[in-house]
Amino acid sequence: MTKYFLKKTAGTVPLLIGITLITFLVIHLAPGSAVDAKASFNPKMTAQAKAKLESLYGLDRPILVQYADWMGRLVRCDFGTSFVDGKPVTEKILQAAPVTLAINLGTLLLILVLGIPLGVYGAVRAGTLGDKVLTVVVFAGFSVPTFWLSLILMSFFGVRLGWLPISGLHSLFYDEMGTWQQYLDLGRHLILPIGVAAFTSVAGISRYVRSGMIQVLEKPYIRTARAKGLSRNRVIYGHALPNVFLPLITILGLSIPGLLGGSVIFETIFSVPGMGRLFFDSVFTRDYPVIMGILTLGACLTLLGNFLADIGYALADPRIRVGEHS
Amino acid sequence: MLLKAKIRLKKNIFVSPPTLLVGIFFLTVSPCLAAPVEGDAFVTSSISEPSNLIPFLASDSASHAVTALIFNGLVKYDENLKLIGDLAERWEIQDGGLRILFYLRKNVRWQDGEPFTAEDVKFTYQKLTDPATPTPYGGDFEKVKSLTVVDPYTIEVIYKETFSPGLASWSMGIVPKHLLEKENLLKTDFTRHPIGTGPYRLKKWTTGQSLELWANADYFEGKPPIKRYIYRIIPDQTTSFLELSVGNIDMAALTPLQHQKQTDTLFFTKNYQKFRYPSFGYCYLGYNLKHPFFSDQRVRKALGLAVNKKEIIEASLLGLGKVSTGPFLPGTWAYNPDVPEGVFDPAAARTLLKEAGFIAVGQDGILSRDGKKFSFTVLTNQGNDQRKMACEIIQKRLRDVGVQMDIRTVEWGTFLKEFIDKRNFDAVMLAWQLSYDPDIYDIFHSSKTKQGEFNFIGYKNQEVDALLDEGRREFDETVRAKIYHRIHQILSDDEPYLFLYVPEALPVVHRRFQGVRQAPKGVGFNFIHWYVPKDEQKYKLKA
Amino acid sequence: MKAAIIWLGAILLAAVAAPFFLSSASQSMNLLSPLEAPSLHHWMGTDPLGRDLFFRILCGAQVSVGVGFAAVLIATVMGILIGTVAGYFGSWVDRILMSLTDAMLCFPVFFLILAVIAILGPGMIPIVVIIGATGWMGTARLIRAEILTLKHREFVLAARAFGASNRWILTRHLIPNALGPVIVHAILGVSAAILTETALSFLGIGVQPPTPSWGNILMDGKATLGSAWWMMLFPGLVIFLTVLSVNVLGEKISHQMRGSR
Repeated sequence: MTKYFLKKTAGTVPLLIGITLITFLVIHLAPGSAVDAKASFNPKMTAQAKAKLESLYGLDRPILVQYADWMGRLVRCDFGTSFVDGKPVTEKILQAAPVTLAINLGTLLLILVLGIPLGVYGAVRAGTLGDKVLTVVVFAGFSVPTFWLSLILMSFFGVRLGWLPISGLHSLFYDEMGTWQQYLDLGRHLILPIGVAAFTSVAGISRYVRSGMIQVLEKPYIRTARAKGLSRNRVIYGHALPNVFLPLITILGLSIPGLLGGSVIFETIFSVPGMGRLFFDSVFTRDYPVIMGILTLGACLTLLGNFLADIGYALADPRIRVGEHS
Repeated sequence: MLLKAKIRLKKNIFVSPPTLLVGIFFLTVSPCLAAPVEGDAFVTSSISEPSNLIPFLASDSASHAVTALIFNGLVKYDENLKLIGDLAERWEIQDGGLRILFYLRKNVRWQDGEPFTAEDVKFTYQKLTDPATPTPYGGDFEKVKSLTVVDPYTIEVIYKETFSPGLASWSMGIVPKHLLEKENLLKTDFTRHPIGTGPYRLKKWTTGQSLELWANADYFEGKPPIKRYIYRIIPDQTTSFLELSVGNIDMAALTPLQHQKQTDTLFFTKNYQKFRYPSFGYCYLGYNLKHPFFSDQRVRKALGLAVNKKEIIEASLLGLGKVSTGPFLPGTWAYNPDVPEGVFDPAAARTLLKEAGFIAVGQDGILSRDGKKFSFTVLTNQGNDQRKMACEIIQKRLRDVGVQMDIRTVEWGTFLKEFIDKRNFDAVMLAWQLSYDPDIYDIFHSSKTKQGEFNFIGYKNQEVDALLDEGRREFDETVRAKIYHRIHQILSDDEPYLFLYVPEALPVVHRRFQGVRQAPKGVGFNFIHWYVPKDEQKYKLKA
Repeated sequence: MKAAIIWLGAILLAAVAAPFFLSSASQSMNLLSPLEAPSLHHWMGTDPLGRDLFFRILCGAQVSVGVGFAAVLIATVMGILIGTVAGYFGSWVDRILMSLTDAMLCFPVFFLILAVIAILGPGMIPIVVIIGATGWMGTARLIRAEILTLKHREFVLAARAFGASNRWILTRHLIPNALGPVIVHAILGVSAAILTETALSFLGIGVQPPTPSWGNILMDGKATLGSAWWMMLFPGLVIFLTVLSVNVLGEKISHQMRGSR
């Protein structure tokens, strides 16, 4: 078992180096450079000034030397500083990450709260009109362009009815509010973004629960339980649902790295300063240290997620540890 | 300001509203109104976040908008675009322009209480010209031979040669020596917590969301009545328009469509005052003069005749713009009103192209010369709806005279590096933002055609070169006017650019603000004198 | 279900036929009638350049649906190839290919899209290639898993015992049997690709004007929000209904396949 883990961990390191190296090459070879993005189209920016900036950022050295330098700092947990505003990359990420994380967690929670009952209902009432309507509604969320829906809801609830704030995370003078007011304010700002995000992705969980549930409900032990005279709800929630949950947990585990991934479009529309915008902006300004920082973080989390999932499987199913040797 | 790069390319024609505030905060008396009352906050928004609040390191419009409130230069432009003193009370130009003496105000304090002196000016100058400072504005000060502190309130600047645009370059924001002397400008915390001499000081900066500035009670022209200035960051234009439609934003720049069709509601007319005036910029189609077809003046003339500028203004700007005839702003002293607007005459265009040796060969009606089809690609940057529409209209008009034009939108970073710097384009559709000083040496002088310089179309005209040199040596406005009028005429005859239009700036301001006025400089130049009557104040602020 | 099929049929018809008949109509400007509300003459109104929105949406179908199908075709073929080889040959081949798959999953698709579009310029082909080349990992994993379970089944072992070549076994036995879930995955992929095209237009790196695509038509609509409801409503609805139909269809097919097994 330990050997298996070690093997897995050892395999991750070259993968990580490979990914970061390729990324590094791609972003540095992509057209445009940090200096150009900064210089904008300013006639005062002379060629010498550009050269000066390039050497300040170390961009005039061979690309592999730059990579080695970056890697050298990375192992000391130094992600460097942003070319755009000189702030440490870690600080920028730490500012954006909680925003994205909070929205994603809220969304996930809402998806579970909505998706599980919807799935169960669909399975129990499979084939009825109610099931069909729900199926269409759930798919509708999955099929709608996010920004289109967001704008329509913003103009309806925010402008037409005036019930909800339109964008951003806080109202003006948030600092001067009482604690409860602050929570209330934040909550009101989060209703639309989280609602839209949950509606557009509830399909996955609810369909999964529905089909899992249908399969379980056909199992002999459920029939037995029913035959023994247990109440319908008791059977569904007490016996059937837990069996659907186990694989669900694995799916949730795998979605952990995704919790830090923000959607640019979503964050742009709602003016939320999360990871998606940070990444998008840094790509457009060719802010290499920030791009690399986010990518490395993402890669680590994905690998970690896979690794945890593998371990999970290995613990659950010893056959996998032996591996395929046919 | 806080000189905005003299001529900066407008990446986005939608000028973020605060750029309108750039500049002057000087007005002796607000003429028609009762005594201003303190209180309330002013909220505006921008699509991007400021990147650096050290004036000479700031190169984006968001940073400029904010630094303009925090810092002062030695001079500034007044509402009628005349240079007046700011931190300098007055100045003297001596020795035919080789020597400028600045006499500084004596009652000015930094926002942390330290007195402002000539040493701060010297320090700013040293940093500006320090090779280790990555500033895009160093070029303005290259012609300065020396800067000497005569006494704590007098500064002497000696120029290597007469350089009339030099005076305006002293509108660059002055930074405090005592706070930055020991700092590394690239990493200093000062960019997040700037201390200036200006009417507002930065109180709070919530990354990605907003900046909050508070009125500076010790400001040398008096404390501004509006207590707080909130600068919200709203990256999506549609979202910011929705915010405006519920009154959450007090000043915004509208798109032509919003101005004409989306703001006629009762809500808007009741709450907002709309303005329109020519913006300081023009949109053009620039030809690569190394291209075998475009090096031929007849071809450029023909394309000019084939395009209907008025129609472009009607369709893409909904009439909210003026035909551009040259690189100066209509109504300013450098602008030559005798230069004709140019006519729309496709028949004449066809004749001219025929004269130039183009004939239609294939079925498609596309002209060709020497066996080469007249088809070219125009590059433009993404993110500007009006310009995109203008491209589509030009495309159609050129097709009518047998010229095939393809449109390619390119992301900004790539645009410069891959296309402009390498002269790798047939034509570009872009806009220049104009400075208040008409010097356009960097754009049309033949010495500015090297890689990374801005005469990227490769324009060479000896007379223009000579005139540009002369214009920089002359301080007298009437003499300079003659020079620039001539340049205007030549550029219009030569048509190295197809000058298209001068779009209008379309700001709206909430009606509760009193003292809002439009001047040649626009709206918002007198922001520090705006106020809201007590009973109309929207935000009740304790502090 | 029927509605979905009819809708998709209509959209496919539009995608194939519209460009032949309406290409010029969809681009003909009438600067005298910009932003006209829907009428008998212009069923869905006109855009700011006076072009008929209905015609533009019909022509946009070709680009958007075309992008969807072509991208998914690329992704599916790549996925099948990589997944099959990895699953069938196992050992180090499997390990290398699956590492590649993992790496691709970590790699920021969005950045690749930007880089490729920056190099090749925005246009249909780069968009198709990039959506395709970054979308094969799911298919590869799916087919690998199927192959892993299938390859020990009796019919495969029997074929091998009779001396069948790898190629024969793969093309005649394994791939056809593993194809079911892949088809469902591919159908869902089409709907995702249509939405991706829209997203790229939002970011300004989608299909370029004057070619109409659903994404850039919708973006034109976004700019007019508040003054021309039709510009925002119709393109959004068409995208929504199309993607919904594709999803419903995919669900139905996967349901039937599960039923038949």
